[in-house]
Amino acid sequence: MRLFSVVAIVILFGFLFVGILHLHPVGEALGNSEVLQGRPEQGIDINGVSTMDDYFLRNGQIETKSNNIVASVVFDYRGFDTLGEATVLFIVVSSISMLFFTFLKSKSIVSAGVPPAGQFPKIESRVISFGSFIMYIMILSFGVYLVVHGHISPGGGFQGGSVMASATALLLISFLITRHMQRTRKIFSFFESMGLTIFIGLGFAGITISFLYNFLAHTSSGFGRIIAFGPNQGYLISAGILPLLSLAVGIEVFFGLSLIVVTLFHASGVKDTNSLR
Amino acid sequence: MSAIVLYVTFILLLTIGIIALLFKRNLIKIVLAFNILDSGINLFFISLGYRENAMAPIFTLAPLDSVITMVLPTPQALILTNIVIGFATTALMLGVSVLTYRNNNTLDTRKLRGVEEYD
Amino acid sequence: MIKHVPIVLVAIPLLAAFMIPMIGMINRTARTVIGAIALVIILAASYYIAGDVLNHGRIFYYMVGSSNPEIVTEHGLTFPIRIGLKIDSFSLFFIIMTTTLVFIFYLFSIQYIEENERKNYFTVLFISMVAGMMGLLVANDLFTFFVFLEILSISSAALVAFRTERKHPPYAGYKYMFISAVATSFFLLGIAFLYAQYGSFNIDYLKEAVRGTLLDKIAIVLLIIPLAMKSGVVPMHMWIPDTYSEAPAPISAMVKLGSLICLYGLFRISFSFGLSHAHVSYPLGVLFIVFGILSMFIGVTQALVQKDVKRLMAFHAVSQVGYMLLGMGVGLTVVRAGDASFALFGKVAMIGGLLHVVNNALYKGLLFLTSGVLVRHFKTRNLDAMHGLAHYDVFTTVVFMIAALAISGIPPFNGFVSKIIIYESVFQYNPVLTLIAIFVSILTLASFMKVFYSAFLGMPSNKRPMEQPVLIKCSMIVLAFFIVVIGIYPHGILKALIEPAVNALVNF
Repeated sequence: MRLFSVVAIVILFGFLFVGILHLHPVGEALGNSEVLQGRPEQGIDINGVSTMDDYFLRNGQIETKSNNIVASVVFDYRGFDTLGEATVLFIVVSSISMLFFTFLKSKSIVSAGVPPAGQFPKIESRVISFGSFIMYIMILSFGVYLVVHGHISPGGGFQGGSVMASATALLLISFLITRHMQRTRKIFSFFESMGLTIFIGLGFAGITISFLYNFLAHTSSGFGRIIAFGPNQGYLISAGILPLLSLAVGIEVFFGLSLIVVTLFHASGVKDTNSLR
Repeated sequence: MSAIVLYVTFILLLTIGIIALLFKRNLIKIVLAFNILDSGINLFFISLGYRENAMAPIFTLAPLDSVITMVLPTPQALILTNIVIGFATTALMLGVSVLTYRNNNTLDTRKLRGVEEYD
Repeated sequence: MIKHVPIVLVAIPLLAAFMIPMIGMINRTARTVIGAIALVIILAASYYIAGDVLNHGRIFYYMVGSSNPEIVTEHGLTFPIRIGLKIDSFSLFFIIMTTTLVFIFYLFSIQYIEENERKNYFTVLFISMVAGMMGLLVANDLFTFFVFLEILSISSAALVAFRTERKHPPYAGYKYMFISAVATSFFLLGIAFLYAQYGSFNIDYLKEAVRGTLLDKIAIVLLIIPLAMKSGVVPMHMWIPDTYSEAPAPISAMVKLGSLICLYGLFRISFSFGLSHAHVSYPLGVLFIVFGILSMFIGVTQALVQKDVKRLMAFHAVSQVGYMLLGMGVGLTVVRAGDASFALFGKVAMIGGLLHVVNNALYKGLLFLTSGVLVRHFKTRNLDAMHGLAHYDVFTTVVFMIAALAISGIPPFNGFVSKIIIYESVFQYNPVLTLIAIFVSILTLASFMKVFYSAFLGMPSNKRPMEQPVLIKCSMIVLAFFIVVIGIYPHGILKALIEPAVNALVNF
């Protein structure tokens, strides 16, 4: 068995090594790299566009009205993948809730160092409780900033949502919300599926043309404001449905990750007397 | 030329991950090995879209030159997806390892293997 | 509205899955009904487009988010920029099979899984699994394929570990998740190698672009091996017995269906990228045949020695995959070797292989469902501890007989049809392969005789079995009905579904 594994590793290593040798050198990606040269101000320009990425770089800003081309790829051109990715997160949250359901409900749980659910621990230090509350507000607002500005600067629903979920983890380790564990989980679960329903609802809103069609970007005011091609200072209300999708994903990721953190924290904080034996 | 270090790191990460996957016996360590492997693949995918002296594909406050060189956006978008998927996989695997430990009092694959129990 | 069918097949189950946690908090019946409605909608949609695709050869393209979703390349470009979905007769064959079977399994699971708050999550994961399957079947984009493969495997892994109060299911779920995670990681690596050269993920575009260089071959191997791993082909089958035996019965059937859908991906990718170059397609075909023979033989010999009824059926699942790979592999080796031999037996072998896919999904599903009934009655999976069910429960006995005779290839049932097609066509390619296949079939019959003898015959047990609930009975009757109908009148499905599917596959 061990010999077989070694042989398999060597074969795979050889495969990859040969593959890497035949690849293009690092730093010389496909397509041509100039973005602005000879670019008309409006309208789709496909002169000299030889790959998918060239098209995104040259026309993404005009077509989706988003300054962040990565965001326009994530939410517009490949929005269906993002829906699938959000679904993966949703599935994992449901799985974790399902798997730990009987574990957390069982009566035989005893405390193991960490305060058990249902008892509000006595917070030793005012500094910890007040400090973590301040930090909580700050982390949360930074996360909201990342979510809301996803289409004009680095960030977006996933990144901002995970930043916000880390605030939940801070609350947990400073023992601020161990009291209403069950109810907290229910609320989180509700908002998580609400975020995803908003996402897929926005997808269905454009179904007269196609699913996940960026219908707001084709108006010329509000979210569809016309943006000249090239660098600008960034407009918060722009990019069609991308900010809304980003917001929906942000809600989903925040509540989903918080639910995972809360459930696993709760599960590791209790130790049962092993009902099997 | 120094950018070749990206590919080398990818191969190293992948090899470390696979060796750990095959030879480690602890469920938690296997999860860590999978994470190493996954980050190797993420690094490889990102480095496919890398261009020398290029900037991130974001137009907000970009330099007002006549020509801007940008890295490819698609690998970044896809790796964002893969990071989330990797996170989700890790969370689920850790969750079931907690339950496995609770039910069997061990995380060692050798002790978990070959237990015959009909139910 | 008909042009939106490809996206509806994926989006409706997703929508239902997202809404179920909210609705389940309010009303439990509403939750079950919403799941059923979603499954009925995709069932109706798949039959709705069947006439167009199968009779008129229409191919549905759908570019998600495009202003004109039926145009593959926008703005006069030569390559697609958005995610493409595609339904042709090959994928429609699998879609019809999947939508029908998941509905039956859902009916079974409504009354099989006990009703409590966890069933919310069970329903969510079940519907997500269906969404993953549909996404795999309609995707024309490698990365979308990867994402939905993850959806399928994560929800399956969680459901495999559903019985958390028992000792082994969490570990079985861990094992399945681990295998899937590693497999999909390497699948992504294969995608990366193709993207690095051609800058696209669209399968149709890549099919034209692939030149059969060394890098392409590495990429194809990296794409194919993970899918073979997920469909349980023999060198990579170590996850199968644990997964199938620890999961609840409807989930075993669903995971089996999921592995058949990974087989769909395997065929699709190998035929797309292999056919245009004979030096790629021939080794691939030989690889399929070797995998097939190994799976058939090792699967059935392992099954013979099992004493655990679900492990036994799991090993038979491995062995049955071998038949499909054998048929398709023979087709793939000769498809470019010259039109004469292909017309003579290659196409017939592929027809046999595909017919075996649907047959196997039917009787394997029925076997897993009956094994669930057995385990629930005897409270054990050990065959030695079971006896005498036939004295009381005639219904389960008859249903099990039908499935067991079908899997062993006994004439009036559907297994016989596909097996005889495979035997005859493979015989003209290489008689030894046919001999091995017949031998495996005999061993299959022997091991199911063992199950029948120990579980159904013998002393009647003291406890009278409880009457099966109506939905469980209905779902099993429908499956048995399909088995008998395909066995007696195979021309219908052959003409209507399989031949268009094979034609689409050859012209990939």
